[in-house]
Amino acid sequence: MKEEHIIKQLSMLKNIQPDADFARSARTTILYRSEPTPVRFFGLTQSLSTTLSIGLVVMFFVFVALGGVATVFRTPLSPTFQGVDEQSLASEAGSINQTIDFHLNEVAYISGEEENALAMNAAPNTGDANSDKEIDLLLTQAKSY
Amino acid sequence: MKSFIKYFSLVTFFALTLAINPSAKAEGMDFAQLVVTEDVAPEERLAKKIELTTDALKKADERVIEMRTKLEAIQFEDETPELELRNKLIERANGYSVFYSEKLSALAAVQTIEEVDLLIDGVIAYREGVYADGAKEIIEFTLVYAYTPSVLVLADERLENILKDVTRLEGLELIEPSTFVSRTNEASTILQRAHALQTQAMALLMERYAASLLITPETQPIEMEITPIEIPIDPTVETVPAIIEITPRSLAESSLAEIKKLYELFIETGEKVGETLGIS
Repeated sequence: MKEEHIIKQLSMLKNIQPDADFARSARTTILYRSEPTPVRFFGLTQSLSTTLSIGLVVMFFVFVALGGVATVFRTPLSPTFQGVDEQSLASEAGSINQTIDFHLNEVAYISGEEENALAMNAAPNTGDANSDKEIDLLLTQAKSY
Repeated sequence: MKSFIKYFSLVTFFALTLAINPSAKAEGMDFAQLVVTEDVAPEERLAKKIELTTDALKKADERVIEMRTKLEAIQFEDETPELELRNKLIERANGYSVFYSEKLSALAAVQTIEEVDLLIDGVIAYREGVYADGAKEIIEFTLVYAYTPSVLVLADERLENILKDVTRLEGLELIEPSTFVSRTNEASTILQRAHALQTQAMALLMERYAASLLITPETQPIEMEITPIEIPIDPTVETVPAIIEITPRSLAESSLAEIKKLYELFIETGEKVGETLGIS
């Protein structure tokens, strides 16, 4: 008796149908909804993000291990503090000293001075590059030949 | 045979001189030249003399062109005494160029050693009597108006960059704020002094030029009067005041000496920053 009742009830459920409006709206939702993100791609994104994070952490530790801020100063690729960079300063100072001495020697020579204390002490050999001195030497050589 | 022995002994002596004392190389070269000169034919001597003189005259002309180019590169406003003086110096340089070109042409027509020697004597006398004074003024003008200002600009930029870096390092708390104050202040003072000396050099140069226009006729070289000024060497030490000749050149030289001192201080500052950060 009980079984028969259940079967009867189930047979009645077979006839249940959705409301016409609901059916239309459900159909529209199914047809026009956006494509769900594949689980595979999501997994890949997560994986990349994790790898990148690990990479950054590793790089940070390498940076610290190699001297941190010191590395920033040492590497030529990072012109962060060029103003106080020793190498750049030494190079500029050397170049300036050399040209100053050259100009002072030049004016000292043409003024007929035996020596210019400031220039001669600093650069005793720069006189060789002086054109006027070279010209006078050539003339003297030509005369005495 | 006799001449061979003579020549051989001279060469041996020359070689021994060089071998025993390498520092006597320069003297040795003169000696070698004397040996060669004694033995070369007059035609060869003439050719060599012409070659050396041609070289000297070409270099002299190149030198004048170089001086003129430097003068032309210095820009001044129209109708200023500076521009007027610069143009006069350019004219003078043109005169030197004409002289050297004429001598080069004359050299092409020379036939004897005596003629070459005469031409060389003329060139040497011109360089000593005319060129040296004029070229000195041109070089001084270029030193005061072109070279020294360019060095000062470079030093200004460097100090500015150092100050920026020090401020940033202080902001990052990598250095103590007061560590570099005395150094940067000293650097600023030295640079200001260098600028002041440079300004004085320019003023004095133009002052003397103006005075020369009142005294000297246009046709004569621009003679700049030298005024000795008494300057005590050190006010804290009791000494006899030294008489230093103040000229535009001496002022420009003092300015450049200050720049040299400034760069020593810059290097010290750079080293100190390195030490503080533990990178040197």
